[in-house]
Amino acid sequence: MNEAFLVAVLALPALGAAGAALCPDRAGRWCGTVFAALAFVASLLLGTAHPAGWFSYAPSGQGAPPIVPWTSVDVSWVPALDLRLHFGVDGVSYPLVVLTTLLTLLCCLYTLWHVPAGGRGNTLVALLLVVEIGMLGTFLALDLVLFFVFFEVVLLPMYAIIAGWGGDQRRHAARKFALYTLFGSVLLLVGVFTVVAAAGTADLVTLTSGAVTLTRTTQLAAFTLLAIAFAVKSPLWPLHTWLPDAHTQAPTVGSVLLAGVLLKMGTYGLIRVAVGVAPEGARWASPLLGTLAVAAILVGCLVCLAQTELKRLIAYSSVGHMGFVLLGVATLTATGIQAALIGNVAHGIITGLLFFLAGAVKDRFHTGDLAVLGGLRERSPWLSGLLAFAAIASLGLPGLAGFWGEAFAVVAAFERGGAGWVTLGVLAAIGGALTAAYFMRLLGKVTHGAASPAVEAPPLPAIRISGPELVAWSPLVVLALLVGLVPALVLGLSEAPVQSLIEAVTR
Amino acid sequence: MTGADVLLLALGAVAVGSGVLVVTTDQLVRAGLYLVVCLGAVAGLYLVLTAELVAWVQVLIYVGAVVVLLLFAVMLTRAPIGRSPDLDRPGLPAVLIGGGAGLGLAALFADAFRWSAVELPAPGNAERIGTELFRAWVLPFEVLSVLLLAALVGAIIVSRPDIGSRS
Amino acid sequence: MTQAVDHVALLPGYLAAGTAVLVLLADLFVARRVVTLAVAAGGAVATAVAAIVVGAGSDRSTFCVGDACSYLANDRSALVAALFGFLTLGVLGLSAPLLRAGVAPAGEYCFLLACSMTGGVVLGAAGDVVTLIIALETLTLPLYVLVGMRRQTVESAAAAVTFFVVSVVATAVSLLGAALLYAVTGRLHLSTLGPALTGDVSLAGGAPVRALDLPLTSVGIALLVLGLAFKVAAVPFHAWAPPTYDGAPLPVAAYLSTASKLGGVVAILAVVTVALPPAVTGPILAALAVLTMTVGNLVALRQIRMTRLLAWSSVAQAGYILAPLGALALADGRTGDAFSTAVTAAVAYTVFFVVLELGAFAAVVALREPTADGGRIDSYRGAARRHRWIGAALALALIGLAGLPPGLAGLFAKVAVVRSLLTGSSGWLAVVVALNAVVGLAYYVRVAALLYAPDPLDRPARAVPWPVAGVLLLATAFALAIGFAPQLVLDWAAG
Repeated sequence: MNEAFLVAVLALPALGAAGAALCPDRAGRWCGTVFAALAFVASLLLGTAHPAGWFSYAPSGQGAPPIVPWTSVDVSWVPALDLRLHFGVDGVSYPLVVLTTLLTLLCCLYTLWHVPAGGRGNTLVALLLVVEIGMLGTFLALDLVLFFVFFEVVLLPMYAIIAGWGGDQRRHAARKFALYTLFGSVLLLVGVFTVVAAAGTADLVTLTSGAVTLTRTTQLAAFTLLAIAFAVKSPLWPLHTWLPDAHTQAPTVGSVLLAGVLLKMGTYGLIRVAVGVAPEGARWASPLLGTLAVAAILVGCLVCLAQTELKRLIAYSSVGHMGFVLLGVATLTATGIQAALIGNVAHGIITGLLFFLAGAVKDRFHTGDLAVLGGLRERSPWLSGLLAFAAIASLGLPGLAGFWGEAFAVVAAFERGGAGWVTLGVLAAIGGALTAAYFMRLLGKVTHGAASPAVEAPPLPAIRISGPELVAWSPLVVLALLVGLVPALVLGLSEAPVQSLIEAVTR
Repeated sequence: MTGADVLLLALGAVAVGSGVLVVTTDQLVRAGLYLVVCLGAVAGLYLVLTAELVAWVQVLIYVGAVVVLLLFAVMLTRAPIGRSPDLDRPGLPAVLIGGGAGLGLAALFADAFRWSAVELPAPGNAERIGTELFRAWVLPFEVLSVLLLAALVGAIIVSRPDIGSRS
Repeated sequence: MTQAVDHVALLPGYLAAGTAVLVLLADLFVARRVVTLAVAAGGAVATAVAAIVVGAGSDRSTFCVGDACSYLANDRSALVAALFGFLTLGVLGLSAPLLRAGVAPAGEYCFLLACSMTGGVVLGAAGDVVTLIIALETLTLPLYVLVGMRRQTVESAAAAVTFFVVSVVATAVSLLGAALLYAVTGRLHLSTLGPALTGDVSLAGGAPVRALDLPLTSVGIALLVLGLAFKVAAVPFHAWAPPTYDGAPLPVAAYLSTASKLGGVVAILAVVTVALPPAVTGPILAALAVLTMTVGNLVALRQIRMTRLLAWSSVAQAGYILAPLGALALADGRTGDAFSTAVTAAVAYTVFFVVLELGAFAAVVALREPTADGGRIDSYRGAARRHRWIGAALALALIGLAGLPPGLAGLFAKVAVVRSLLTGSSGWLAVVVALNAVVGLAYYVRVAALLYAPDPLDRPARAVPWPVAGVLLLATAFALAIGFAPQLVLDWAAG
């Protein structure tokens, strides 16, 4: 039964994409949305596969392998390339799976109501669902080569979404996105096969359990290649330059998926694949990784303070938030990795919401320029209130989802100890304060003050929040609050695998 | 130094010398005739090395057919018979490549074979070549027939633009 | 005393040559274009089927002198012969509108293609250097004429002459290499040449010396490999490819980039795997692969004409095909397991590439006039909006050549190459392949995106002749099938 849910989670978006592409416009969008909803339900039902129950803090046995899938499917596909169709879900990947299906469903609902200029709606929905298959496949893959294949699946549909329905400079942004991402992917390919050639197997469960030992040189080489690949995706400063253009030029649903899920593929890959398979390489590289992560936080914050465009500011804020996540991973402590995992989910929820709201603002007032917008509170109090909620959640207010990731990444840096890590922790904390600064600046410019002419211009009925928009945003608002108040929703599931992973790394 | 060695050297010198004259002269017909001398010298070389059939085939095909074809082409296209100064091209790249290749090959052979004496085998007359061919090399021989047929048909199509085309 | 002849093993060769003759006779007696094309197509299918049937049985060899045979009918030769048969069938389908428009005489055109196919079939099974080079020449000579078939244009004639001169020089160079190797070892059969080259020779009755110690041997090996590299359009012997593809009629360009390249690869593999010592050929092939990939991709970025872009991209793809053999440069890459993986990867990549390239050319033929060449890339703007399925097929082929999903065939091809390189401990070469794939995406995605761009001129859709549509459909379907089941190709390639 659980295997059926696993297969359904992957197969339903595929059917939906085919249906959406073949049907005419409106019918195609409905078809795609229905299948996205079914996939979301299947992903929720997949949670019933958890052996010990939802809220258990069951400690793992000593020496348990890092990956113990709740349920898995293993079919041979291309033996000559060490490629098996081996899918499975555990506590680390499950929250990301649910996040993916939820965000895709919300994007499809949004597209039902409003299709951006550039092409037909049913094609957009079909492309969104294909991206979903790629993302879900990456999170569920337990075979390295399969992981790589699904990592690649995401590239072209996302390129098509940006190039087809994006903003003014979409072609350049889309091409930059495609080339950067492929650069990361091909390094991933070389890294994967470095490991597979040395170990003789591509099975992630076997490789992370310590049954296969790789030499130090192999581990260092593999970790370097894998880390660069995931650093391009996450993105980690200085390989982040594709992100602002891609996020700014993409249509709203594209930005939501990009920021909400695609970036998580990089950090998930880092935790699962790079650290899991090459722990010695991880230990060797962790100071550098930590330094770059803190640089990302600070650079992201400083650039955000100077930003004048709404979507671009949110894009750079993603660089900063991912810096916190990567700092958590770099510390290689249980606290750090837990912080990274919940930071992932929180960032997905909150930045997804932020991009939805930014898209709403741009659609209504036809500009994202901070200098032109102002006094949103006067004309559209609900929209401005939601924007404020999302911004405050993003800067890490305790009680909302963003707090756990940021705060405990800093705690993990201190926990790691030593002068270098403490310094990094302090700098990260300063970065957290700067995050608050730029979000407050954003809110001050956009929501407060007198209503600017651009905000005054549209008539009241045009800027009212519509039903579909509310349906699309409210789950994210609720989740931001819920995950902030009950982090066990995410952390409870991942505690045991993370514990085993850290034991394996520090062995 | 045997008589065969002397003949080889002499014929080789004639071949190389007339070859140089072919590419350096600026009169087209003379070039064709120098080519006859060159190829004839090569046929002589084959004869000294007891490859009788190859020598006669060389004379028949290269001297007889190819050079005569060349001269007919010169006649029928009314190519200039006297001096043609525009035939000259910068010779340096060709000298470098040709000379380099020739000297290089000579050096390689000298290094490999040094100063050795080779027993000349039995004369390579038609019977011997036929035995070799039909004992060991039938397949390439038959495939060559396909090649030649293709060349024949291809030559006809290239030379007759009116075949098959509608105006 | 003559050689024993195994006619069953030779069946594909007989059928291919028989097709050629039958086509000429059909054209003479029946003189109807449709019948001629049908005979040629039927012959190509028969050749492919016969190759598969013969290959399914046990390995056969014929025309032997002692243990060394000139014709080896094993699994790999069956694969090559079947590929040549199907490629010829595909190109015949693509040529149908060309012949109806009267650009070339139907009988002679089909005859030349069938002769080329015969050369390819024999090439796949060649067991000695003489047969190899003659078969390679039989594969290429008809193409000299076919390239010049667009007779009213200067580009076509120039292309034919360029191709002819370069190809003849290449054949001469490889013959010289073979002759030098014969001078050293006295052997011509591939299976006996290998042991002779790694052993000792005594030249002209002198003292025995290791064959590989003589510079003559290394030069002979290098010349043979470099002469064959011309055929594959490896850098620096690639300059003929773009003008030749551009000047030739489109179906002939399709044949050049698929079947002719397949022939070159088969020839190189035959000499490198059996006859020549990998310690010498490895560095040569590694250097060729790196140069070819890099130069091919970088120059393709600047192309504005479609056929030239496809030509430069196929030059780069030849680099990816040669890359697994570059792993032979290191000692780790020459161990039995790594060696066989490298050869399998090269053959598998060739199969994937040939299918995708045929699909790309078929789509280009479908989008252009029968008598036209490839045209400028700008003229394809919005083609996918005018012709939904053809545009999608062309985009799929281009993305497959770039190596991304949904062109899974190309993705698995690149994966196979990287895997074989890392198994042979040539990590540096794997990184070069990977970086070149990124450069390749830049121009493939530019063209694919242009297909879907809105067309300001609002040109109308053209009718597509059914043979062309049929070939495109089959090629695309086959590409999708092997994309989802690449194990089939990898099994065939492993032999």
